[in-house]
Order: sequence, then structure tokens, then C-alpha cells
Amino acid sequence: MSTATLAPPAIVLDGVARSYGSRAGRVDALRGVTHAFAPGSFTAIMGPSGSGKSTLLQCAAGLDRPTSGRVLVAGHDLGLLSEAALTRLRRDAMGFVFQAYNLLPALTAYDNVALPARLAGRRPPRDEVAAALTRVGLDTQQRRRPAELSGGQQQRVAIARALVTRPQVVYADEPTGALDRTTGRQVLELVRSTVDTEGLTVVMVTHDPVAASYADSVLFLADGLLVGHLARGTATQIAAAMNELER
Amino acid sequence: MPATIRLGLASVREHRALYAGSFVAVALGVALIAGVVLLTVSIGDQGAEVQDTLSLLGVMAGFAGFMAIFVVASTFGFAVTARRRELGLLRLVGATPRQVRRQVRVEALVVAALAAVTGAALGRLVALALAVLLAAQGITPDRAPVTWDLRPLAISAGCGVVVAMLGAWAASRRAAKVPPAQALREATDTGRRIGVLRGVVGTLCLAGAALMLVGIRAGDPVLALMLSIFVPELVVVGLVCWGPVLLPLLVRVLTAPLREHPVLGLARANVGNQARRTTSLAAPVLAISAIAGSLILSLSFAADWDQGITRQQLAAPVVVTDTLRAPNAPEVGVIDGTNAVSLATTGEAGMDWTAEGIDPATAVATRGLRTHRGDLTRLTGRTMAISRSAVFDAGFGLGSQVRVLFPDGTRVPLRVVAIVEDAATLHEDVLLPTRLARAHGAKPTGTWFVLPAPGVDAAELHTALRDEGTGDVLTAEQWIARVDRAQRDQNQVGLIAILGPTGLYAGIAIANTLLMGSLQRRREFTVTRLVGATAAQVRRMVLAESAMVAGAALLLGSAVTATVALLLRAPMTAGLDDVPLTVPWASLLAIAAACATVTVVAAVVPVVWLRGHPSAAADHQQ
Repeated sequence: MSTATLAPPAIVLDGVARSYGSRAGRVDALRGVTHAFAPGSFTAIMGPSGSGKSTLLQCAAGLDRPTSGRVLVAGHDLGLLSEAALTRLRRDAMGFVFQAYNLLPALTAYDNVALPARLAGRRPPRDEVAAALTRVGLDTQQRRRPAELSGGQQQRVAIARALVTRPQVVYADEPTGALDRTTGRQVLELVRSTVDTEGLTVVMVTHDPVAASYADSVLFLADGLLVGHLARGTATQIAAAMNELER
Repeated sequence: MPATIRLGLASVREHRALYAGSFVAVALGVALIAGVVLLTVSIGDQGAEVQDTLSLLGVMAGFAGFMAIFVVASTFGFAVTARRRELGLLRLVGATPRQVRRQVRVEALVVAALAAVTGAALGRLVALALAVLLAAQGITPDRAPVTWDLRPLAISAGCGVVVAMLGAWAASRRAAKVPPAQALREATDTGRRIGVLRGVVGTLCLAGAALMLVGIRAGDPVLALMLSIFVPELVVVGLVCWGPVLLPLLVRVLTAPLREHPVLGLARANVGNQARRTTSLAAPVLAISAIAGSLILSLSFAADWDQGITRQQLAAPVVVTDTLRAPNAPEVGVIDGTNAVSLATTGEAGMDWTAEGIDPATAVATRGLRTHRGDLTRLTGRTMAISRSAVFDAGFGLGSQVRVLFPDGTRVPLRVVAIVEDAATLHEDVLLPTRLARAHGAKPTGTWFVLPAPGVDAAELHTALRDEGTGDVLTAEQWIARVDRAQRDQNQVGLIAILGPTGLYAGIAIANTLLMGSLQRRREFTVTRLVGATAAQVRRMVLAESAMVAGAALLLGSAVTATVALLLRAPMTAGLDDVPLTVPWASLLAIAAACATVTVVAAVVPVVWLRGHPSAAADHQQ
């Protein structure tokens, strides 16, 4: 534990603000968020709708550029990177899992997992791709297309794809939102065990206290500001904290 | 195999339905072009009528190619919009914009290659069918054997691939601009913004068209006619480029009174909000209405112009046709028979012409030949005169020394001594002294312009010649009407040949856009149903959307047609006293009705069809 805290943080948010101009007026989605995510940590981000959770995730992943403030991922200031350099960093250091529609419908499970390496111009090592699929329990479904897989299986293929490049950070947006409770729990246990065994850093946006209870700590967001922090909370404690926020 | 190519192949397989329209458009275009080229190669050089028919077929194939670019551009544009989320995902897992762009181009190439091969195979059948048709119409003496030469097929297939790549170009650029964050959002591309390049191309096209319109107003009649055929294409491309900005605005303004209506108001909002879809739907309607409308009116005005010239110039009160023997009666004063001989100009600007031997004094008296420049009385010995519009094609003018080759094999240098005003009905474009023409095989063509002898009036001459019984004796009015009818019938055949395939393309494009649109909007329809709309209301909404877009496009098309027609009218009547005005309303209305019918049918069929479809399976996919 002490070595983990001494290592430089995997992700740094430094006064990140994001506002959108629209015809109806200015919307401040984030109003200055500062936080450092330690390497090997699993953090859940919670908050009411419109609190800025998704904007925070997108800024942290370089999918959206902050209006002000800095974002560092694996030591790189995302604001200084070109679109191409950002794409390379995303390809090499980040993985993504979202609620649904994670997979390219035209490709088999195997090809979906092999895609990031192929896009990087590398020949994906067959055994590594197969191993990633085996680890998520899909060794026999490699040749199936997304349409032939259940929702939980699709999520597991997405996790295998997120992990196969050995990224430092994985971003997850409501990864269990479209799954039933049992399947959702299996997916979360998979994420948890990967964090524990491989020292991965995971940032997960969720509104489900049970999902959040798998994380090391929970950040609470309201009106674009960090308003609370809970370490090692149970689902009940997290739900209580959320209720407090929404009051 | 690079990732983009592998992905492109898999993607075409997966999204077959999205590319069906492109496939059909390219295959059909290649089949038409291949058929025409094969036939041209097979028949070779076989006289003026065959050449005219082949060049008409060539124009038809050209129009088909132009429309194919449209269809491919619209289907690929659509496919990109429909797959925004998927493309965002691709960017998210590490594809660079370049890789996304390349993937879309690979997809276009795969579709185009498959379509081109299919089209080339069909092209052989088209050539065989055309050969049978030409023989049946008596244009070729017997059925021409179609060559087994593969080069024409390869060339046509290549054209098809180029056309498809041109069509997919803009779509691939747009695909590359999809941000990775799109993977996290619902696909809600209103697409009302247009790219800089698209804006520039659109503006250039419109500016070019404006210049040409000025040219039509100012230029001479023949130049004006040619411009009037090219202007609509430019205007259409320009308007389609600006479509996402322009069309929603136009529809909003036109349908403002409907905004409170529950179903029509929703349809109006949908049209305004989905600028891309609106443009995809409007483009073919606009293209067919503007291009076909202008072409129909231009050809009709050209026939009017011809008739005006004939009325102005024809001095003979009686015309006798269909006889090779000169009509003879004491009442005949001056008689002027037409004849023809083919000749070829040699050298760089070598061309085939039909020439006519005339006696200038007689022709001026009977047919009112007007000299534009030079001196027609010098048309003796080794000289020639040409009509004003022919100077355009010929590459020589007044005072030129032209080497010509007669069918009897002799080469003669001729000096151009006069340029005469156009009168296509009354004489050929190349005029020779009678003696020179006769010496090289000019044959009477069977039409005789007759002036009465002094003291005899036109009616007496007419009666006398009828009694004499040679040929078909007509008054000048009757003859003009007959020639005019023949010309308009010929125009009609040409119009059907050119507009048939073009209309077919427009139909494919409209049906494709609406079908894709409906598939893509399943969930939206479900939501509309859930908030309380009946199935019939959803159908009416889709129908109203299509009708609004088609209506706006037809209005723009009509405006283009009217502008071209108004400007064209001036040079076509200048200097003439009596030019009839013929607006072929039936043809114009038929075009509008066809556009409306295709749009309505294509709008309703998919919605009805979707009703009997399990929508749960659809929601599982994007």
C-alpha cells in the first residue's frame, strides 16, 4: 500500500472546468474539479443526473477538452497532445467499457478484442487475445458476432478488449446499467479481480450503490463540483450518502 | 492485411442493406455505359444516323453516370450518419481519423468493385438488346454482332469505380470527423452545419451557374441552348451542397401555417431537425425536376425557334415533298429542289457533314437565305458557305481554306465565302455551289420549294400542282407544321432515352433514403407511438415529411426550370417576328407527378412493412 501511494498518480484532474455554450445560455457542467487517482485504485463516481459525472469521465479520458484546468494521464498532459497523439495514448494506455453498444457489430468477439492492436498496426498475438477472452469466461464464443451474444457476454467481450492492450487506466460508464443483477455482479467481480491482480486503475461512473461498493472509494459529484468522498463503503452507506446529496 | 481493410470487408458484409442502393446505382450505371460502349465499338463507322443514335446513347450513359454519383453520395452519406456511434467507438478503441476515412473508402471500393463486375456482365446483355432494337428500328441494316473485346467492359467498370469513389469521398471525410465521444451518446446528428469544402464547392457551382445564366441571356442562340443544358446540373450540385442549411429553412417557411397541427407540426419539426436526411431526400427530386424540366423546355423552345426562323424566311407559298421528280406546271415560276451529299473535312478538326448544293439567287428567293457575313453571290467554283452555328463546331470561319473529302474519293480545297444565318429546317449547315455538289454525287432529297409564275397566286399554284399529281403538295403552313411535328417527335424519343435512366436513378435514390431512414428511426417511431400516436398517425407523419421535402424540392426545381426558360427565350426570339411559344405542360406535369408518386410510395411502404416486424430485434442492433 505504501508503494502505491508513493508512485505518481495514474490520472490527475487539476481544476477541471467545462462549460457548454448553447442558444439557451451557458451551461457549467464542471466547475473546477481537482483529484488525483492513485495507480491500482478502483474509483466510483456518483451523483444525481446532470451533476457532471459523464463530463468528468470524458474529460479524464481526453474525449472532451476542458474549458480550463489540466488533465494528466500516465504523466501526459492531454491538453498538449494533438488529436493523433491523443488517439495513440488512448490506444496504448486507456481502455473503455460502457453501458451498451460497446462492440462493432460487423466483427466477431475475437476480432473485436484484436481490433486495438490491429489499428495500431501490430499483429495481435493470437494467444494473448484468446487468453483475454478465456479470462472473461468466453473461450468458446470467440467466433460469435455481438448479435449472437447475450448482454452480459457482450460486456465481458468489451472488458477483454479493454484489458488486452494492458492499459494503465480503464474508464467505465455504467458498465452494468443494461444488465440484470446477477450478470452485473459477475462483471463487477471481474473488474475487481483485474484491479487486484494486475494493478489496473479503474474509474467508473455509476448510479448503482451496489456497483459502487465494489470500488475502493466513491467520489460524489453535485452541480459540477466534488462534494464528498467515501472510502471502502458498503452499498448501504453509499446509498445513504446519495440520499443525503439528492435531498 | 491492414486493420482498415479487414474491417471494411466485414463492415460491408454486416451492413449489406445500407449499401444496396449504392450497389444497384453503380451496377446499373456500369451496365448502361458498358452496353453503349460495346455497341459503339461493335458497330463502328456506319453513317450519320447511326452516329446520331450512338451519341444520343452516349449522352444517356453520361447522365446515368452523373446521377449515379448522386445516389452513391447520398447512400454513403446516409450510411455514415446511421453509423456515427459505431464510428465513434472505432475512434475510441484507437483508430485515427485517417484510418476511419480509409475504412469508409475501402467499403466504397468493395461495393463499387462488386457492382462494377455485375454491371459489366449486364452490359453485354444491354449491348445485345440495343443491337436488336437498332435493327428493329431500321437504324442499322441488320443486327450487329457484339464484340467479345473485353476492354470496353474493363473501361466501363473502371468508370463505375471512379464514380463510386467520387460519391463516397465526402462521406468518408465526414466519417473521419466523428469524435470518439460519439460512442457514449445517442446518435443525434442534426447535421445542419456543412463543411468548408462543401460550402466552397456549392458556392462555386452556384456562381458558375449564375455566370452561365448571364451567358444565356447575352449569347447567341446556339451557345444559349448548350448552356441551358449544363446550367441545371451546376445549380443542382450547388443547391445540394447548401441543402442542409437551405432546405430545412425553406420547408419551415413554406409550412409555417401547419405548425400547430399535431401530426403535420411534428412532421415539420422532424424535417427541420434532420437536415441530412432532408437533403438526401430532396437531392434526387431536385435533380430530376430541374434537369428534366430545363431539358424539356429548352428542346421545345429550340423547336419554336426553328419554326420562327422558317416562318421568317420561307418565301415559297407551296412546298412539294416525297418526289424525286421536279413538279412541273405552267403556273410554276421558280423551283428550288433540295439535295444532299456527305463530305468530310480533313485535318485536325476533321468532321462528317451533310452538304447541299444551292443556287444562291434561287435559294434567297424561295427560302429567304440570310447572309450573316461574307458574300453569298461568290458561291461559285471551289467555294462553300456554312451556317452560323456550324462555325462553332467546325473550327474554321469566313475566308478559311478547307480541305474536304467527297464520297467519290476526291479531295478538294474549298474557300469559305459566306456565313449564313441558321435555318436548320430549310437548308443544311454546309452549302456548296450546285454544280460542285452535283459533280460529286449530290442526290435530290425530295423536297421542292415553289414560287408562282408572275400573275399566278398561291392558291392557283397549289391547285395546279395538285392536279399535276407529283408528290405531296403542301401549303407553306402545312409543311411547317409537318416539319415541326417531326422534330418534336424526335425530341420526345431523345428525352425518353435520356430521362428514362435518370428518372430510374432518382427513384432508386428516393426509395433508398426513405427505406434507410425508416429502418434507422424504428426507435423514434416506437417513442412516438408510446406518447400516444396511433400507427396511422405515424404513417401520416412520415408521409407528410416526405411530401414537404418533395414539395420544397419540386419548387426549387421549378424555379431553376423557369429561370433557365425565361432567360433562354430572349436569344431564341431575337430578330424573329413570329416565334410560337410551346410549353409542354403534359411532360412537365408528368415529371412532377412521377417525383411525387415515387416519394409517397417509398415513404409509406417501409413504415407499413416495419409494422409487421419484431422491433425488439431491431433495438438490439443499432
